[in-house]
Parts: sequence; structure tokens; C-alpha cells
Amino acid sequence: MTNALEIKDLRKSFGPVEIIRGVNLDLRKGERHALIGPNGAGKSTLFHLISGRITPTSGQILFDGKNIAGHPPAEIVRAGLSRSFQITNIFPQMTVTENLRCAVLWKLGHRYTLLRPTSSLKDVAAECERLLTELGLTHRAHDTADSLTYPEQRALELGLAVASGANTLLLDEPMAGMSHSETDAALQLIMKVTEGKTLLMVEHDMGVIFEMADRISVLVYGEIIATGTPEEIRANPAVQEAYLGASEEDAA
Amino acid sequence: MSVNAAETPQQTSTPQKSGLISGLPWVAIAVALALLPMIFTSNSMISTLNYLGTMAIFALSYNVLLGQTGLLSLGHGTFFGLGGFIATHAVLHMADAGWNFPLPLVPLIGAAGALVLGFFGGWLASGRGGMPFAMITLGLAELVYAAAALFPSIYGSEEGISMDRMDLGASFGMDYGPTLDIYVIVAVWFLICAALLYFFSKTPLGLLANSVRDNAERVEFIGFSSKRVRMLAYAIAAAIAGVAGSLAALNFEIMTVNELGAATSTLVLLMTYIGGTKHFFGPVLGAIVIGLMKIWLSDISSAWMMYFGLLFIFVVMVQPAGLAGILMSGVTLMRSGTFKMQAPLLALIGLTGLATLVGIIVLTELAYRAGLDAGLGPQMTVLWLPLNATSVLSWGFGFVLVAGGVLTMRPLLDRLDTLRHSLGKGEMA
Amino acid sequence: MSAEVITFSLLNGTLYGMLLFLLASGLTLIFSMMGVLNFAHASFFMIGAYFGFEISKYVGFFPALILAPILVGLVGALIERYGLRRVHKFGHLGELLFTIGVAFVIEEAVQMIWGRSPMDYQIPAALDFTAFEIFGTGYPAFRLFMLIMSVAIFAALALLLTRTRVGLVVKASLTHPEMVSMLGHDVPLVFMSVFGVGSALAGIAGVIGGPILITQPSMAMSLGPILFVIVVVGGLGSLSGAFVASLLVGFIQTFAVAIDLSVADVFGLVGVTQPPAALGALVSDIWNVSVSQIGPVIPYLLLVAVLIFRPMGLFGKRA
Repeated sequence: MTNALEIKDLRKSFGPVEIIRGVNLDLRKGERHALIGPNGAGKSTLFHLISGRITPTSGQILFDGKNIAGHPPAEIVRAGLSRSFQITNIFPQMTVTENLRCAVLWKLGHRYTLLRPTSSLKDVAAECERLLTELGLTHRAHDTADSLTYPEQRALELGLAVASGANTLLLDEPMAGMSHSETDAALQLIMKVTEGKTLLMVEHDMGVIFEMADRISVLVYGEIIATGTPEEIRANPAVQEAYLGASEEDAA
Repeated sequence: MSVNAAETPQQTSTPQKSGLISGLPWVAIAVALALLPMIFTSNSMISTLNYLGTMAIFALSYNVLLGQTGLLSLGHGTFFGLGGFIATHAVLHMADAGWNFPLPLVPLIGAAGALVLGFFGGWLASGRGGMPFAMITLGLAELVYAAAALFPSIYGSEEGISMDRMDLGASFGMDYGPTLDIYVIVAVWFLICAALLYFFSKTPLGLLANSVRDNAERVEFIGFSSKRVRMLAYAIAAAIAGVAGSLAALNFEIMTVNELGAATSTLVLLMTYIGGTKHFFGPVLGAIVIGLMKIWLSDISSAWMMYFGLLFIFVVMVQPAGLAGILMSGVTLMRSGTFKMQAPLLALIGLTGLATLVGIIVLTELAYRAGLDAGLGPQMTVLWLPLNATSVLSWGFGFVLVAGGVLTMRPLLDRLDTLRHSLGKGEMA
Repeated sequence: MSAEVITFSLLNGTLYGMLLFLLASGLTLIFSMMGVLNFAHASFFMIGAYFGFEISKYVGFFPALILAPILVGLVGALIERYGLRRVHKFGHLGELLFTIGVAFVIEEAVQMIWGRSPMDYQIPAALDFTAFEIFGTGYPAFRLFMLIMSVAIFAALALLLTRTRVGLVVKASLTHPEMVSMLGHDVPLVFMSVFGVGSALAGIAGVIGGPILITQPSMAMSLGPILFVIVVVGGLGSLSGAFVASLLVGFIQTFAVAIDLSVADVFGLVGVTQPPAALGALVSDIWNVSVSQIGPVIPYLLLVAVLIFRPMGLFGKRA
């Protein structure tokens, strides 16, 4: 099996409105796949469907060959598919280390333990140390998450997704709201921490997309209108029409 | 004034801190518990200490939900009451059967029973946090309370169920007649429960409880079930509340249906929140302050419940970190080295606050004398002040104090902010 | 059960259910608008009854029916403006705790002013007659008046929310507060008004319910939990759910009182008249339980059943 994720004819309606209208999408193992599309195309909804936040109306989501459509988020994460959020979604009153500790507990097999103190778990400490270094947050380890700067919070957000040990990651606009120089640093961080993993990413910064993605899928009005390498997408007339016809700003 | 979670005891102990230093406060508490009955020797004082210790355990158990998991339960009294009834029936049945079960271990039975019931209640209530959780726990508590009336053989009728704690015989060299014997049991159980709950806050499950408090949705996306965490926290809190209820049963030797009613649930919520949910020992502080208010203030003023409610509203509106928060910000202030520069302004604020407080007390006492206690006549003495509930002068005095205090407080607090701001700048430079 | 008992239970059940809905609708409006479950809602009901009693002593019942709810509404609006709005920054938990504190203080204040014993709040003389007779038993006019009042207020509220511009703004503020604020409407004022109107509705229920239910300091605490059962069973924030659940609870409680049956009677039908002594005290407890005793328990059993089988409530949108 070379596909990490296969989405087959996925649909989602809110009342009479169909937001996701028969999406078909394959994610190859180890590839960096970008999902682009104009505002309101349903990118975030698609992410919510895959990650189990909302239940699809119909269709299949095959992860490692098993249908995970409609499963609760925790089960999907345990199966090896985790996500980050567009709006920072961390544990604000807890320290950075505590944030990461929570996220590594399941994969290290500690579950809902209450027989040993967390500080005595050597594997948790080592893994958190490694993640802190990788994320560049070591100097902030004992600060509460809500006292971090915005790029640091974004790094922690990414860290929580990576820490769960999943081999497939969904990143929802990891660089949203960052300045140009911050974007560069964030991109390097993403490349570093997701090395060897399968990646599906929503992003608005086209420069970033065309630089990093192995393949790109274009979602317009709840349908994938094209999938291909950056060159193929650039040349695709349907994509040109969707973007240039709709708004020049988005294509910039 | 904002003391955030970074300063709570849960977080200050880093792994490199040696066991010796982190054990020190516990030794101090144990020593204090041993000294207390030597200082307060009268029977009624020891009885008061027993009550305070029981309430402190109860409030600590409640904070597992409120402070650590962010869950507002409106039915925690159920487990206090059920624990007490289970302990009472255990003593009655074991005494009938002629068993010599050691009395100090009876709270274990109450805790086990409450734990089982806590799992069941938690299974029903834990699906969602926030408002739904609050309402469901309230509904379940009312269900138990209403159903209790149907089973007089378990819960007794109006007069409740009584037992004699000496019926199980002597053990550990005590016969459990004197109140002091019960004090020993309460003190040891207080140490055990506090240590267990402190340990709980350090375990992975305790950490997950905090994460559910902070952001229940994200917990699902790191592989855990928020519902499961809530349920486990609920059951643990129930078990410790069962210990507290059992101790209350041993202390008073009687349990009534009221012990598992809404009044008990409200009492523990108010105690815990007033004490401070963000510090491990905040609830103990709340239990002591409110417990003493209940015992002493109720003797000298029929308005004590009103003060209790007003204090709660004050904490909710102005100082969500509770009394422990005020204490800790005081400690921080002392350490900051700028205390001397702030002292005059702080003294002024303290005086203004005091004047406002006196005004509030005067008005409340006058109102009670004019209403509920009108039969006692209009003449009264409050805080050594001769007052008259029919005199405009008395009422005016109260109003002037309150209005003046509130009006003066605002600019004073603004000036304190400005001062602290400039002091903070000075430090940076 | 005779046709007579059924008819009267239906009438009284509808009446009690509508009275509950008068309270539950205000609670639901406030909840869906501000996300705040107003724990003090039943306390506004209580001060409505006390104000109604006090004012009708001086100016009579009908002016009190207007004045008391206005006063209660003002109290509610002031509490929102100077209390609730300030704790908003501490989140919904802070707001809920604040309303618990308010409920606590109101109960104390009522005892401070009126004492601990029940008030002698009588049905007004103008309505103290028999409205109609069925099966030879009279139905009191005051109860009929309560029923008409409740239905009228329900209709007025429904019209206000669906047919007027005010209703549109309120409904829009429920879902899109920022947008409504951008359109130039004063959202805090809308919130304060909704809180005030919700409290006033509870006040009306207090004025007309006071003479039938007993006007005493514990009336808030005894009614409050039932209200929460109704909003959870109906589905949080759903007005139609609250309506159905109110009537359901109303019927359950009135019919339970009317059914004169105990476990012992059931066994009596098959010839067993004494509980087998060997089974102990618990069985004899259950033996003596009658349906009317179970009455107060049923709403909470309903709550548990709904939680297990339909956690979003009867009319709730999602869990």
C-alpha cells in the first residue's frame, strides 16, 4: 500500500447546504501534499472531517486501508493521524513542558496513569526534551503557554501535533498571521519536524506552497478540481480559471 | 493581583528539587496537627477542629473537580452524604455481627462505596464539561435526594440514622469515646487525603485533568478521551468526599438526609472557591475560614449567611484566585523589594477597604434588625458602635461609609496601578 | 382512574406546565443569548411572588401584576449591568458562579426582609369564584386566569420574536453578536434588556404562582432544579424543547399525585398482602412506596434517561 490516506466520494451537508461535494483525494506515503483553494472552498471543513471533529454525511476516509470516517478524534490520533489547528489551540494555563508531556503520554503507553508521578517517567522527560530542542522552545520550557509570543505559540501548536507520534499530519494554515521573516523560520521548522512523515497542509502563501509541496490539490466549492505536481497545477487551465477568474489577490 | 497558574505548587516543584525540601511543608503540617489539640484543649474546640478537618478534606476533594479539571459540580454533597450513610450502616451492621473492625478504617468503607457510585455518576455526567456538567450533576444530586425519602430504612426519616462509634470496640489503644480520639482519626485522614490528592496532581492523570480544564477539545486530538478523564476525576473526588462524609458520621454519630442535599453541595463549592482553586491548599484555607464563620459568626450575628454570600460574590467578581490568591500576591509583594515604596498607598487602600467593610456590616446588621429580628427592638451594638434600626443617623452613617469607601477606592487603585507600572519600569532599566 | 380525575389532572398539568414554561422560556432566552445559565432565575420568580404580595397589599392584585414584574425586571437588568457584565471576562464558569452567589444572597435577603415563615398571599377576591363545573366539581377562576395569562404571554413572546424588528435583532444577537454590533445595534443593551425581560417573565410567574404555590423563602431552591431538568431534557437553548419538556414535567407531576396506587396495591391484586419478612427492611420500604411519593423523583429519572439515550435533549441540535 503506497497511499497513507484515501478519501472516496466524501460529502458533508449542513442542513440543505452541501459544503463538501464528493471529494476524492489520495495521499501517498511520505509526500508533502498541499491543499489550496479560494476562501470558503471547504478546506477547513475537509480537515475537520478527516480528523474526526465532524462526521461526514457520506463517503469513505481510508487511513492505512481502514475506514476512519465518523470515528472520534482520539481514535484517529491513536491510529497515527494527527492535526494542528488554524486558530492556536493549546493548553494556555499550563507550561510548555506540560503541554508537550500531555501530547506524548499516549504514544509512550502511559495512558491514564495515576500510580507514578509524571516527573519520574524518564521516557516522557527525554521525549519532551527532544521536542523542546527541535521546536526551539527550550528556553521557554517552564513558561505558561499563554505567555508565549505568537510564533512560539504556533511552534507549540505544531509541536502538539508532532508529539503524538503520528506518521501522517494535517496542518491547517501553520503560518497564518505571520510576518514574512517569521514565515521563513516557520517553514524551516515544519520541514525539520515533519521529516519522513506524510503531510497534508492547507496554506494561503503560494510561495511557500510551490516551494515545498510534492503535489498540490485544488479545492473549489467542495470539489477537488485538480491534483498534480506544482508545475502541472501552474499549467492547469481549470485552476487558472478558478483563481484568476475569481480573485487576483488569492493567486498572488 | 493576578496570581496565575505558574505560581501554583503543582508547578513549582521541578524534578531536580530534592525530596527533602518538598517534604518540609508536610512535616510542618503534621507537627501543627499534633500541636493543635495541646493548644486548644477544651472539648468544644477539639470538636470544632474535627469539623474543620472534615470540611478541609471535603473541600480538597472538590477542588479535584473545580480547580484541577475545571468542572463545576453542583452535586458533590451527594458523595459526602452517601459516604456518611455507608459508614454509619457499616458501623451498625458490624457492631450487630459482633466484629471488632477498627473504627479508624471505617472511612475506607465509605470511600469505597462513594468511589463505585462516583464511577456511575461520572459515567452519566462526564459527556460534556461546562454548563451541561453543572446541570447534570445538580439533577443527579436532586434525584438521590428525592429518592432518599422513599427509603426510610436506609436514610432514616426526619431524625436520621444514629449509631454509637464505641460499639465497634477499642483499637489502636483508643476506645473512641473522647472527642480527642476522633481528632486523631480526622488528623491522620487529613494527612493521607491531602498527600494522595497532591500526589494525584503530579501524575499523568492529574496532568490530563489540567489539560481538560484548559482545553477539553484539544485533549481529544492528542489521543485521550476528555470524557474518560472527567469520569476518573469525578470518581476520585467522590471517593475522597466519601472519606470526609464518613469522618463527619464518626464525629457526630448521626446522619440525616440533609447531609446529601443541595445545602452541602453549595457549602463545599463556596468554601473551595473562596479559599482559592488555583492553589493546592486554597480549599483548606476556605474550609477553615468558612467553617469558623459558620461556628463563631453564627453565634453573634443572624446575618452570617448573608456575609458568606457577599464574600463569595466579592471573590467571584474581584479576586477569582480566592483568599489563597490574596495571600500569595502578598508574599510576592514582600519578596519584590518594592514593598516599602508601595506601603503608604497600600495602607490607605487597606483603611478604605476597612471603612467600606464596617459600613457594609453596619447596614447589614441594621437591615436584619429592621426586618427578621425586629422583635428584639431597634437598639443594638455593632462593633462597639451603638446603633438604632429606626434612626436615620445610624443608616446614614452606614451609607456614608460604604459610598465614601467605594468612591475613594477607585482613584486609589488607579494610583497603585500607576505606581506599580513605574516601579516595574524602574526594575527593567 | 375516573374521567373526572383525568380531566382535572389534564387541566392542572397544563397549568403547572405553562407556569414552568413561563420560567423556562426566560431561562432559555438568556442561555441561548449569553451562554449563561442563570442559576438565580428561580430567585427572580421568588421575589416576583414577594413583590406581588407586598404591592397587592397597598394597591390591589391587578396593579401588582404589572408593577411587580417591572420591578423584578429592573432588578435583573441592574444585576446584569453591574454584576454579570463584569464577570464576563472570567468566562462562563465565572458567570455561573456569580449567579449562584446572587441566588444565595437573594434567599438571605428575602428572609431578612420578610422572615422565614410563609406569607399569607391570598387569591384576589375578584377571581375567587368558580369558573365552571364539570362532573359536579368546580374549577377555580384564578387557575383559569393563570392558564390564560401563561398562554397569552407565550403567544406574545412568540410574536415578538418572530414578527418584530426587535425580535430580529435579538435573534441575530444570539448567533452573530459581532455582526449585529457592527450594524450599529447596542449589543450590551440588547443583552441587558433580554436579561431584564427574562427576569420579568419569572416575576410574572411569581406574582400569579405565589397564591397557589406557597410564598416562602425556600420556593426558589425547590423550583430551581426542576427548571434545569426542563432545559436539559428539552435541549439546551431550544425554546420549543423547553415548551414540550415543561408540559411533560407538568403532567408527570400532577398525574403522579392523582394516581392513588402503591406497590402494595399491585401485589394486593394478586393476593399478596404482606411483604415477605425474610426480604428485610429495604423491600418493605419499596412495598410502601406509592405513585404520589415517586412524583418528585420522576423528573430526575427522566433527566437520567434522556442523558443516556439522547444526550442532546429532546429538541437539541447536537451533543
